[in-house]
Amino acid sequence: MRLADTPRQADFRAELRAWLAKTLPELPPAPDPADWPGRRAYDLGWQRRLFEAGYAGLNWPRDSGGRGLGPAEHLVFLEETELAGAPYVGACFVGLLHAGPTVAAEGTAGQRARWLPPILRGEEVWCQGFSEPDAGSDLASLRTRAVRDGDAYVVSGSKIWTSHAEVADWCELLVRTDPEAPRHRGISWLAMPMDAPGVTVRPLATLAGTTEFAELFLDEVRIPVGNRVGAENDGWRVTNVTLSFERGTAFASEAVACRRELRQLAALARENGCWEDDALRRRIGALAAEFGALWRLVQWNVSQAAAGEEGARSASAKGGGGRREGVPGPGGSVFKLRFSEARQELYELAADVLGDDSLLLGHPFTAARLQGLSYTIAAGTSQIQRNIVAQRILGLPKGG
Amino acid sequence: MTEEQRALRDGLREVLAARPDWRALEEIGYFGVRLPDPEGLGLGLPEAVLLTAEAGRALVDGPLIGSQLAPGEGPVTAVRLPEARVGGRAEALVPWLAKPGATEPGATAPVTAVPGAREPVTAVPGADGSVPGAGGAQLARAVLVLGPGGGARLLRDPDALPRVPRPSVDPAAGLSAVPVEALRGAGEPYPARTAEGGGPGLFAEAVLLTAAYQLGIAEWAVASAVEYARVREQFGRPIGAFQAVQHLCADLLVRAETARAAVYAAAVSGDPVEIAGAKLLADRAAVDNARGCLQVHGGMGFTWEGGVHRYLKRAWWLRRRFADPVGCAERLAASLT
Repeated sequence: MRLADTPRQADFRAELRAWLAKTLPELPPAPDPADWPGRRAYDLGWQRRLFEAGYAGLNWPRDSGGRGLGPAEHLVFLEETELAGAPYVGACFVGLLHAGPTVAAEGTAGQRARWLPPILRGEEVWCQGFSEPDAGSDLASLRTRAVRDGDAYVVSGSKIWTSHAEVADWCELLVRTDPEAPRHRGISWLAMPMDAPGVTVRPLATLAGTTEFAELFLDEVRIPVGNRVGAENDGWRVTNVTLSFERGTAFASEAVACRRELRQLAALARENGCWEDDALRRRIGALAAEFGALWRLVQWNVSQAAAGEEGARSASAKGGGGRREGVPGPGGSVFKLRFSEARQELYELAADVLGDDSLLLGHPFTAARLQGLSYTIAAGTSQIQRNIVAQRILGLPKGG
Repeated sequence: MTEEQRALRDGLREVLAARPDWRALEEIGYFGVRLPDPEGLGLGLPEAVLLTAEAGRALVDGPLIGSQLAPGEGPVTAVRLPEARVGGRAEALVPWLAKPGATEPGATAPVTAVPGAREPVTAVPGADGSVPGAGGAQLARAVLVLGPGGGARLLRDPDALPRVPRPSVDPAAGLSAVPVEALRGAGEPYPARTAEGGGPGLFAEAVLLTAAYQLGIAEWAVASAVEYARVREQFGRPIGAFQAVQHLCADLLVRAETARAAVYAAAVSGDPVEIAGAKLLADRAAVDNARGCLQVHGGMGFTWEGGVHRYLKRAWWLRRRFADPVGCAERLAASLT
């Protein structure tokens, strides 16, 4: 594990830090969380600034409009932007961290040229049409059907828990193109324009009272066959190709965020006298150890993925059908399991520091506590992650 | 991790799998890891950490930590002089390592040369001719006392100290009570390694190496639990096919991996706060994983013969050594300014 920056990385870090110090004060005030059009404009605006300054798609290949830098520079970027309190990717999450990398890895030259530059330039928002009412953690049982009709697929069904659907331009959609094939084999990956006739978005309120996600109803939506990324019925593999790499970095900035939030909590505890409580202070200290280690684990996973990338690619080429099943890479599952729980512990600790103020809706830590309840559910529940760790890393037998 | 580090680790793992004892460590050059070539291997703290984790994985007995702190002195046990606390006890619990031969009556003493030692180390032969650490027959010939301020003193004649043996929960790790006053100022000053190399200092190194040994215990517990869960059958199938057992095993791995990231990073950075964090997480991983491993083993886990308890007891023992969870948590809390 290399921990110190190379001279080139140190230069990059210094330059980025200076740019952040100059740019962040110029940003408009953050929008109200309930104002979706405002949030879209804000998040795209930040992405546009990053693009103009040369900080968009650092680890994307050059032919996809990226900078073609290594994972180390990308981690520096995530660390510095988070420490500086820069805006979160927000509405750009799926485009930047999931759909974009998938298109970059599996799309044709034409598809890359059509979809990738607008993501990096902060012009288009993507959402993720994976989960269905009866296919959440058991994603491969999805039922939304796509029937070929000439040069288009006719898609009917529904999706749920679709974040950013209200303001998205595109949806990365998993559909069943062969109902007869085994579960994982009959799925295809399509890019669906959200303004296509037959698409209805119904916002869902979360337990936090916000509309972070939505239901998506698809009634005979025509999607050009040319919008399919990868081969027909090969969508499961397409999805998984990038997931394992992305899982490592998609949460990387959040690991940094935890360290920042913990410092804020320590400051709060010092102000209100809680710091004198030995037990509470030590819980804060112990969590600092966890978040420090989780950040190191991200660095380790990313460097391992980078080192093994060539090997992983050739292995998946040889295997034809790709990996057996499941979603994220196993190393990412280890991180996500502990990260999601530790961050929830942080907000519980914050509630103890805040006392009765933790019952007030307005406090940022209260909002985070509510929002944080999703961490052990979204992107694969903790129970699914434990199954993955037990069966795919530890090699325990399937069953029960 | 570099290729060389990986090879070093794998080499020792292989050797210890066949023979988990002092001689195996000696053969691979463990006691001279940090001594310059040709006396030793000329490697650094990260390599010492990797190898100490392997020693933990194999539960090698004896004064490993002290010997890594005092290369050139042969087996040394390190003891932390308790910092002055209001109402603190006036004695230190020293993990005592008896003079060779003392607990094995009639044993003849072959001479074992420890690389880097200034003199051959006399040790007690076990039944198979190896050097035993179990049963209280332990090896140190010197004691390194680490003071609260970072200074260290070396006692070449530990027998001169007044001490009262105490029964230890870990059958292979003896404890003696020694008045703090007797430790303080005894022996000769030992040069701390901190000034020239800008390293973390002897005391922090002891904390880190202890964490490394704990990491080894945590990793062993994962492997042992999983291996048992694959072969042990109940209700007509391996217990590892039951989700409840799978989730228990998954949690073992998560704790071990988190601790590994922390220990490796602390070994490279040498940062004292990071070292405290590594100790905290490695202690937790070792104790909770040994406990989980014991649970997976069921009745066999509660049986002396099964041996899982030896790992749990060592983990408990090391959790109290050099930096306990409270001290580590306080160190980390203080860093949050």
